[in-house]
Amino acid sequence: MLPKTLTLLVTYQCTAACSQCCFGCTPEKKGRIPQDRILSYIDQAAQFGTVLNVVFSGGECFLLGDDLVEAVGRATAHGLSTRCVTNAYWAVTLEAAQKRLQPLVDAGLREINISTGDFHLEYVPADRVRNGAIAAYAAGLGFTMMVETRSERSFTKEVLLQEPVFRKIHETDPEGMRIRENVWIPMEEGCQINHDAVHFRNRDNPHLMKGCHNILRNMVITPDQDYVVCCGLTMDQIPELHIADAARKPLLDIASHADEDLLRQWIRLDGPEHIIEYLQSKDPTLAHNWNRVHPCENCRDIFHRPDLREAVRKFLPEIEGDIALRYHLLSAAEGFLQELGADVQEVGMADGLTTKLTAKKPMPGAVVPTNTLNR
Amino acid sequence: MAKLNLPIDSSTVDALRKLGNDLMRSAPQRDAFLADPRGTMEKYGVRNIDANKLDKRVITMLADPKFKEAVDTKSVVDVQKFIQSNLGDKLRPGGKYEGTFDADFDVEVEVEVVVVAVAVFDFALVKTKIPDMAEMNRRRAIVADAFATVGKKIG
Repeated sequence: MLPKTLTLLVTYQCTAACSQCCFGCTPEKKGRIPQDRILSYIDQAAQFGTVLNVVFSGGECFLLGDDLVEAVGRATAHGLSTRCVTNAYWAVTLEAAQKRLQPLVDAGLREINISTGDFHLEYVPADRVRNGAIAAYAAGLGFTMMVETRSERSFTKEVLLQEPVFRKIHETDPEGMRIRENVWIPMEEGCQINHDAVHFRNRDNPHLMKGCHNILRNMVITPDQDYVVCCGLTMDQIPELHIADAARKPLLDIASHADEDLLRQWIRLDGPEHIIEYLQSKDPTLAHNWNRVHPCENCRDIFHRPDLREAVRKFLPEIEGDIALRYHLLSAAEGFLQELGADVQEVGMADGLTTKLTAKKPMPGAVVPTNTLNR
Repeated sequence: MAKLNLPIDSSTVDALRKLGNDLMRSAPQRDAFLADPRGTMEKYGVRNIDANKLDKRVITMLADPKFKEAVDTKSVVDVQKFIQSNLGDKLRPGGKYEGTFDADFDVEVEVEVVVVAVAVFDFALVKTKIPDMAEMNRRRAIVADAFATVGKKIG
């Protein structure tokens, strides 16, 4: 299974320093992927034949200035879709936001995700978030706003919509001006962030327990040019997910062998919650906090907790054949479906296809967002 | 602490890739596999994996005439349904129709808008020319109307 998305965490520098940011991004963090390497990674990814999207994130990708425009243009020239994940610090006024976005739009940018919420608002005012959203929307970009969610929070989607102009646009076209509330999770040991039970990834919410869509489908390059097999919120805390030095080895060589690991395959297939549940079924003495609200928290548990690590080593071999075959059948099915997508597209049915496959028809260009919060 | 890696050798992975592709696309290979899973896997070079421990749903799916029909007729929706309900989330008894192909692993408040079949959807997206002028004009009109109606400016 080769990846579908290239995510470039271009820098861990950010204009904000949100508490519990997944990568600990702050204004003081220095360093970035050199521009020639960014362009090289895009060029390499375009040769895969499977990569469809390039996501620019961080840190704050807009800190790259004109280099970001060049990178978006390079991806566009290869026929790749592009997305920027930002906190909208640059949208000081609506006019400033339009001026900042226009070169990116001209370069072919397809989508913007804006992150906000209580933690972000300490550094980026809500007006900038709204300015950025309206400018992105008016520019025709696919747009999604991600609002931090936890039990006790003052800034919500409803608060965001209290501004009359913004609310009217959202009410008129809620699919174009998409707003989602996603959980904010603790990144430091001992930190507690409370959530409502509706978010708990346990048997009370079985629809939340599913295979990990990110691992192996996403190849991530960190500012240090590590190749990481997913863009999960806790990926920087899990050394096993950092599998190579992308500066020293071609991406295709790394990606071609990235799925030669049964645990990665298992996470992709069944997800961390099912894995822990299976391990508990084999060893009922294994304890687990079933009030986790994000799969990356559970994934971190699997890789960090000595008892779970030992259980994986002990019990996974019993079902390795099943995992391996299901995984490769799934990979084959993905390839098959992508081929069918090509056929459908050629006869001009892509729009109808997405309509059929979605509960609600997404806006043109609105790629389903990856996990963009906690950053 | 030693890394928690559980590698499979490249030759086994290559064999499984070929087997997976053939099981998806070739009726004779599917039949051969259903008749003798272990023997077929060995023919593909998969010798160190126990075929007897396969999830029954995989076998059920491969044997289902409707799956064959979906593959033969290239029905995206039907193929996807089979894949979702038989290959992913093996440990969930019943439950909602959501599986390995779900688009997003974040917790969603707006669960109903979580879309499916990203493999297909993303591909279509890349090929779609957006934004077109009609969409641009529609959005600009909505923004202009909002400002005109509300009568104030943000920022």
